[in-house]
Amino acid sequence: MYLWIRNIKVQLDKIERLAKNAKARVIEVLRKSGIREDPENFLNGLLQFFIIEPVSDEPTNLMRRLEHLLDVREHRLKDSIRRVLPDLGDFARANVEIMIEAARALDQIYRTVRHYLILGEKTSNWVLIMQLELQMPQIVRLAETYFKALDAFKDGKPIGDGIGPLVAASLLNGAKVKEIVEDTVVGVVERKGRKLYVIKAKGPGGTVGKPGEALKRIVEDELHGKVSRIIMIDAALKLEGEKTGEVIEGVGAAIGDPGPEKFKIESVAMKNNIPLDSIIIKQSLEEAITPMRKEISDAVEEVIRKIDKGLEERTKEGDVVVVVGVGNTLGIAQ
Amino acid sequence: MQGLDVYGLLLIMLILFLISSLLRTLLERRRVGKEEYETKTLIKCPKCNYSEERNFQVGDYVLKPEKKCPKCGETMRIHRIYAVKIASRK
Ligand SMILES: [Zn+2]
Repeated sequence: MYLWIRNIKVQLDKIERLAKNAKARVIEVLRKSGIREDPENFLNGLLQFFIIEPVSDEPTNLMRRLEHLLDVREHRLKDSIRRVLPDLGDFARANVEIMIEAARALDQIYRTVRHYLILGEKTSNWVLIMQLELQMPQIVRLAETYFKALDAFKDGKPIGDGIGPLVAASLLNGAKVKEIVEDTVVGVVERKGRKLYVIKAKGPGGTVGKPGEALKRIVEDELHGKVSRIIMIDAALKLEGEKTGEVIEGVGAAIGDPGPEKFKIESVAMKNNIPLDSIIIKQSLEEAITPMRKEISDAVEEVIRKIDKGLEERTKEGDVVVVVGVGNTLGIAQ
Repeated sequence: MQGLDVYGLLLIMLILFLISSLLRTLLERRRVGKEEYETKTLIKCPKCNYSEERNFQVGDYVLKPEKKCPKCGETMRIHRIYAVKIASRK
């Protein structure tokens, strides 16, 4: 047990170094952007900011309650950043926001591991220590992944998760777009004689937008339910051993949010009886939050081929189709 | 005899554990050195499909207008930004 504890401590030191470095980097960026407060205090205040999950034993309006809380959290974070960095542009501010998220994830990992180590030591619980020791390599890898992600966020490089917005941007190909809901844009293009409404988060700042709300507005308010198909494009976690950038088709709402957006999309599709197709691009968690690998960006052509095929086989000429590119649009404009 | 066997077994297990953890650290160190990526920016002309690849610069984003196309004079745009593996350095 002594050996295990020592090994865990060595690894924990490594995680602590990563977490500290991450914080230092965020602080540096904050300072460079001309923060009006002590950056360290500001960051520490945000690192442990929490959200209390809504009651789920009573499911009435659960999704709406959750969405409300997430909105409040998002706005508070945004407002506090806007308050201390008023001169920063929207996109730079969005990037600072996701950098803080990454630093927070690292901090969370560090504190959790430390908690279990101290608890195991205090109570001489060797099962706990052994579990921790066995999981350490994976945990360290996760911490390193978040640390690498920070670099991509700092420079505004597109990440693997951005494949959905990238496909959307390729479809739009410079067409005029409008911001239909906060941080989310929609544009209309003609393809194969069909009218395509393409939805994506507003780039090139790091945000995922509100694709569910945007879809709801377009389908219900603008098109009054006259949509023949919804096609969603998103990155999905691959299993170890599977090929990165593989393109797979299926049905259902392809989106990995905490629930509200997915719920909205499913409800809109169900209420208006619109078939919901999805196309996913496989990648690992590490690939999803670090700069987009070439294998992933090369999948764009394949996805567009599949969209075209779906349009030809499952819709008629003159139909209206909504395409949603889900994911973080960091480094991808429209 | 019985007691010796148990201790002997424990000793062997301990040694095996030490060796395996040593090997694992060595392997991990090697793997970290191997996986290096570099981000590239691909600029493309929308008219004649002429394209150029260069290193990523801070401020680049997909669809950002770039210089004029050397072949037809149309404004080129950033087509893709991606990370490629660079050769291992030992
Ligand atoms: Zn040209």
